[in-house]
Amino acid sequence: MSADISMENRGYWFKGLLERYGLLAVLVALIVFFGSNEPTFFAPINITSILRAASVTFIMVCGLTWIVATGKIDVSFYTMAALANVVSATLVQLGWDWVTAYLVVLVIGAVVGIVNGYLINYLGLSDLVVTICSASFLGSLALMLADGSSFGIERPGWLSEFMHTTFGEAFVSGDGAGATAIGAVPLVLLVAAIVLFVSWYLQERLTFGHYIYAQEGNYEAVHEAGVNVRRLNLLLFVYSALMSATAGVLIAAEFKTGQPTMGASYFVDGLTAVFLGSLVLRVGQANVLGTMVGILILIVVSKGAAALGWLSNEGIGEMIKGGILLLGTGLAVFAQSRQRDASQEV
Amino acid sequence: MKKLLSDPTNQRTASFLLLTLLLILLFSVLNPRFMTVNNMTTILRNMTPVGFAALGLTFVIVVRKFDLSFEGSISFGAMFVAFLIMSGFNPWVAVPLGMLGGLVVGMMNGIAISYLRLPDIVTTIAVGAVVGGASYWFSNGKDIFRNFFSSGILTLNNGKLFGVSYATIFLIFAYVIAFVFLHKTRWGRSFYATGEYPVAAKYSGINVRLYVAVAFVISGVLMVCASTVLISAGGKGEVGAGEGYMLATYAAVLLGAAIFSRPGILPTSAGVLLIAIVSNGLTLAGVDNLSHNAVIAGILIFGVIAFDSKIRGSLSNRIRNGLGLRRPATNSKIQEAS
Repeated sequence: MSADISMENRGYWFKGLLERYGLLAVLVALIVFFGSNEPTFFAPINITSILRAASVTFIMVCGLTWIVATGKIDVSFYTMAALANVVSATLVQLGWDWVTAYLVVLVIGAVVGIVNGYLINYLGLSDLVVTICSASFLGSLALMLADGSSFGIERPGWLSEFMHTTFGEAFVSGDGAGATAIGAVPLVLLVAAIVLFVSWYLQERLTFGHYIYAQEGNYEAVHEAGVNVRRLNLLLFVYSALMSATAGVLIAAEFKTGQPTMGASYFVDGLTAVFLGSLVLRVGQANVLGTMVGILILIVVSKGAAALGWLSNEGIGEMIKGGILLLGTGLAVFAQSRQRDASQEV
Repeated sequence: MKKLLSDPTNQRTASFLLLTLLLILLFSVLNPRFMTVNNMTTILRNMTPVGFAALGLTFVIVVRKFDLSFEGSISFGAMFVAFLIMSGFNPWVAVPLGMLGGLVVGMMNGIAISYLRLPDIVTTIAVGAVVGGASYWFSNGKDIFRNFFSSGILTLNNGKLFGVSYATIFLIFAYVIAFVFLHKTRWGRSFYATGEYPVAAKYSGINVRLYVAVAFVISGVLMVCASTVLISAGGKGEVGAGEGYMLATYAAVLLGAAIFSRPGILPTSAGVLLIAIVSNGLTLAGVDNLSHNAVIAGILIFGVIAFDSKIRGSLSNRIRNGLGLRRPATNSKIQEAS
């Protein structure tokens, strides 16, 4: 942070602002572009679906964000969500309540997180290798449990209603309450907003956040300062697994199905959002606010491109996402190296 | 004899052979059909695509990078070669052209990671998404099988020499060439030097960046070989051709590297063989196909833990400490020193 202040003093404030919030401007520009070219883009139903998808994706990858911030990676988040999705769908189908099903899913998530975190941080195995294994393991379990195909939930219950309710429908009575832009905001956004705010507070205002970002720069120093870095990193993996599992349950409720292969589409999206997000606020470092911006950009681009009829086949969407990820990573690396050069000058 | 047994390489080779024998014994007991000539050729044929992919990945692992693009590259290669064959090219022209496409994909990875210094994992995921998406271009996502029968591409899989399919013979050739290149030449040693100690490698005159980039290029080319085998076995090019190859390929390379303590061509071939035996044996034993990945993932993790001496040491210390047993003092000093 001190580097930023000194840069401001030197009159670099505009450049700094551009670097820190440039992606936000890109998001606004994209919204304006798609909104002006395709009027249905601002239709309440489209706003609801964009914000709902963004909320669920954010909950899935907010834990991953901090793992990436410490310089590690977890590629098992999407199959964790898929397993949680199938387990909760199966239990609800058996007549359980969502709350009890969610508790079971949380226990599974905790076990997965502890195993991942222990193997990586205590036994020193490669993060990528361990999480490729757990990703395949969990994906395989999800497929086995669902017998290879998706299945419907006959009585989806209150959580499903919650997922499909907007603020307008919940708080304003009368006809057409959900038809305004504000009224179209889905309730689940509130959950994501709370998660975002708490995460932001932990990350920016507590020592917990300092430890996360300090160890990426100098692991030894944080260790020597008396922080139990291993335990902290293990907890990050547990947190990531729990949040991915939560998203899996929400998706089961939203689509009223258990889909063992649902996670695959979140794999590239999630990682792209996290890495793209490292261009916001903390330049070159993954952070929760940036992840939210990254997710919104991705969803706005894919919904907007679909509305304008650009996506004549599935492949184009994939290529756009891959291109954004490549561009975002390149910019992040560039920004980070420039910042390092700048701090060396001081 | 004692000297022969104390040599670590021999110990590791022996433990690999023992493991293979045990697996063969286990699967033969579970299903007598396992130990038939017919099944052996099936194992060889099924392991060929993974064999090519694992060979490519080996080079990337030797320079201590990761490549996560190959599911996309394999799909892209499959559609590209299938498209060329559909357009009337002879397989002898279509396949090298396809490999040229793989070379371009590998160069994208290599230049981005080596020269632009982008992080390997994210970059290869991104490139994988781009080329995986590009595989839809050739036919709008539809399967391609026109001209397959008349072009002779199917012979690669169906044609046999001494009961072994041509594809497998090409695979063995590729392994022999790769073995000589990686283990018997100056260039091969430079790959290892680049991976193990890049700074020292740089100061001894090795163009470290070039070797990292070349490793990705080799990987890209060999992924298209894997795609070619896949389309000749499947009789069509499909956009999802590469899906599901990530785990098996990593398992083959890393399990081999764990057993032989270092990645290389022989370790990879051992890993490929083990994974092929396990998945074939599981199928014959009547284990649900959906659970194969779970089993292979489990084997990979246990293999990595069991064969890594450092991890084994720290684990056994932990267990001893947990039981309240003290380690001998000398032992701990050696451990700290290492």
